[in-house]
Amino acid sequence: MAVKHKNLFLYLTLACFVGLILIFIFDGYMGIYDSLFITTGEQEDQIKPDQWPQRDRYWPTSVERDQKAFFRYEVENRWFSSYSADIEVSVWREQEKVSDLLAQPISVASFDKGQLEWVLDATEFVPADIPPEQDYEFTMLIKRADIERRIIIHVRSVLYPSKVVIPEPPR
Amino acid sequence: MKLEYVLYGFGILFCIAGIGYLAAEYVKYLSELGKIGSLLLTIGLFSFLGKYFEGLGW
Repeated sequence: MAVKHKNLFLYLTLACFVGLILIFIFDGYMGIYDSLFITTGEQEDQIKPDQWPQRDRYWPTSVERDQKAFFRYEVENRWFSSYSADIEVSVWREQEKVSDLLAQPISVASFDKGQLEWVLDATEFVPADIPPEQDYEFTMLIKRADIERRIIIHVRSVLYPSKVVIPEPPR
Repeated sequence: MKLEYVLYGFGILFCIAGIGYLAAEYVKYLSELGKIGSLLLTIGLFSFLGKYFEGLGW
């Protein structure tokens, strides 16, 4: 009886260990995970899947007024079946949609990655009446099924306007 | 008997290392329910392990 009782605690220990492993596999590893890569100038930033919950509402990034920002949205499917969803990317300003950037379905095979790329030209979204020395902001909304990712694009002002070439006076 | 204890020691170390690795890698992806479940199972694991060694006469 004592031996059985002794082994019972060992089996319960093993059961807890197996339970932990199962939680880590099914709740921690399995699922659909998305990352966003943002390239402005020579610098690439990545918003990793575990970073999205750190900021519930939005992620900020900045771009110079005369620059383009390159985006790569990566969806990783860590599940036994394939995953399909419609991806919609749009630009918003003061709760109003300014423009649609992308609307495309994505299909990712089991335990594979899929990605979409697009380019955002900051000059297209800054109104003409905003002076060059003034900053500007708008929101880029990435919608995948019922998940929304908000990126605040901060358009930096041109602090040093391009050099004015003074023509040489006639001799 | 001494060899048994050495093996137990290795087993425990591997268990702790395994859980530690998984925790470091994937705890950030766990849901709130998963986190509380893991915490309870960890408490249970070490409690039962303690009882087991108590039964052995440690």
